[in-house]
Amino acid sequence: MRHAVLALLVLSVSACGGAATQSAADDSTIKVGAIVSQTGVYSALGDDMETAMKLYLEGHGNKLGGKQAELIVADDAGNPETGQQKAKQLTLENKVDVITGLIASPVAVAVAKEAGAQKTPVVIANAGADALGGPGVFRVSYTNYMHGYAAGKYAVEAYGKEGAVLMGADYSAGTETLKGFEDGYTKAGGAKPIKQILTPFGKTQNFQPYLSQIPSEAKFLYTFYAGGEAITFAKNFKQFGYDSKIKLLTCQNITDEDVLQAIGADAEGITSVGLYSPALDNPENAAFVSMWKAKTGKNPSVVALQSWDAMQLIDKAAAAGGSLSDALAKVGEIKSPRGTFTLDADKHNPVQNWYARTYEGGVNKVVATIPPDPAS
Amino acid sequence: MSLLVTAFDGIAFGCLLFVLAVGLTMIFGLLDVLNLAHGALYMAGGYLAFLVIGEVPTSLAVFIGVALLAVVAGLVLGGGLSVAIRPLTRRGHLDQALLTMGLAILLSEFLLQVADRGFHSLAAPRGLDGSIAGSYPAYRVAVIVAGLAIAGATFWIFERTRAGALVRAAVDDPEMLAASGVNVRRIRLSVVLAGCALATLAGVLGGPLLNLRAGLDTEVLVLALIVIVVGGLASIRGAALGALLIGQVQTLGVALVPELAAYLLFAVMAAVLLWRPAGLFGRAT
Repeated sequence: MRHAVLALLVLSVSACGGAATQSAADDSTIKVGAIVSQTGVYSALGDDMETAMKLYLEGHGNKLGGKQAELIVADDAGNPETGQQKAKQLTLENKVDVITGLIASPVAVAVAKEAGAQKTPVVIANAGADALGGPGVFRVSYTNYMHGYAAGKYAVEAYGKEGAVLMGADYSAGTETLKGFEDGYTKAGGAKPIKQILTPFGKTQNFQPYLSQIPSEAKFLYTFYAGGEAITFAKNFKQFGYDSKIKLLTCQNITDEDVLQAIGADAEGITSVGLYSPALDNPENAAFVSMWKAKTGKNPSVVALQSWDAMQLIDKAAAAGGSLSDALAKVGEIKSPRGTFTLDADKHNPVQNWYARTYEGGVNKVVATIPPDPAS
Repeated sequence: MSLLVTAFDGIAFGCLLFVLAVGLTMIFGLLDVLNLAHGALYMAGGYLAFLVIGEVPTSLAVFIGVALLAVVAGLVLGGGLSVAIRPLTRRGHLDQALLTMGLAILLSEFLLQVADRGFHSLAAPRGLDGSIAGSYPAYRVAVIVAGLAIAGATFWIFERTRAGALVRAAVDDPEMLAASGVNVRRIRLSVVLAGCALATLAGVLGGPLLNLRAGLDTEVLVLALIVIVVGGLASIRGAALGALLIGQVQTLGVALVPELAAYLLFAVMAAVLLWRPAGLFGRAT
């Protein structure tokens, strides 16, 4: 009797290992835990994130990799401790297969640590901290360094090889982006930036005193601001007449969809370097933009796109079967509305095109494509 | 030249801070209640204007109309606040702080539910939405004019009218005032209403400068608290001087010593408190 059972077991395993896991997987569901900011200062981004993830599931019959998908959304309130608690809850109580979402980097760091301890893979849909990534942690957004690096490379050809001034919010996203810019700029043949102006993060209501520190020999300004500070910066830059004094290149956040309406007419003509534009011409993007517009009446933001791609990555990995952690690393090319991208083998960060975009007549028009740099 | 622009801008920012902070200091002076919902009231003014006129420039008349509407809303909210704090009259500052902080959370979350959680901004009214000589926003000049007018009116009422004399008497000696037949409770109520209306008015005035977003209430509350601590609690003159000083610290100060920008605000506050522990115009108690 015992032999018979053993034989049966050997038979089933050797005959069709793949099919066995496949059939086991088919009758189970895949649980996705999304940690987003439903309250707190990042809640506007959290809204876009949740909407995009639900939109993906709606558009795919509520299935990921052929399995019935269950999305459990938890609020981190923009707070790392809360995020870590929610990660614990999602992994231990809800027994999710993967955690995604993650807007602010400090939250992402805390969640990645907690999820790593529970051996649950993490797919980051936004947080840009350079240090994130590695075993079990996958990112479909960008690193701050790469964001700045691409802009630096572009600035050399479009803005000249000298006279750069950098300005940004004094916290990790700001300084990492500016560091990336400086490296991208100098490695592409640009001179060391002549000045870097850092402004206190979250405490600056007025950028005029900082703009007044731009040296007269400056040729152009590269800036990093996001959210409320992006609005204030863009308005101050224009209203204090700096647009006629110095050329401006910005990070993607300054003309992202979440702040454009608030900036209003002062956003017209701003050129930025980002990983996406709703105006990109490819079939995936056309479908994504029309679906998003039907749902929200607006153009999709970068966070919306990244959250869509986070679900797409999980979808593809789940379809491959086996351990989700292993499968996430082997997904390969992802056909995204931003263009096709892959994740690098080591840190699992996206290898992707960047775009120089000029905001005109209500949309960020693509003016140049910056291919990924193996050195970055 | 650019430092002159910076200093001038400091005046504009200071004028906004005055309108924001004067109501807070008035309520504290008369009721001995530190109203931590003051920032949420500011936010209510701004969001009310956003819900009525949106983010496109309107005519100056419409903008002023919305500002008056915000004043009415401030009066109503002030009425609610005075009802809410009455049972806590004899309880300590901590209880009042907890209550008003709770009200602040309720009000700001309510506003974010009614509008949305996104980033918004009020547009300056037409005619004031441009820049003077291409390098200074016209609206900020209007903020200075409005701020000075509101400051002038506040001083005039407090220093030159019977109503103002009654309020000052109610601060100094409420028992004696009540004994002479004046309804002190009514004076207290009118000060709460006026203080709250000034906060919502400031929300409209500051809408084009500080934008609208989640977390705005705490940000402006901290600024208002710094202004009245520096100026001296319960002093209108102190609020005016504190506002202008903090306005300059946040503009001229950071332009002169940008390396210290992050600490400057609190360093100035600490320095003032070391020099005059009750603030510039505060009375030692």
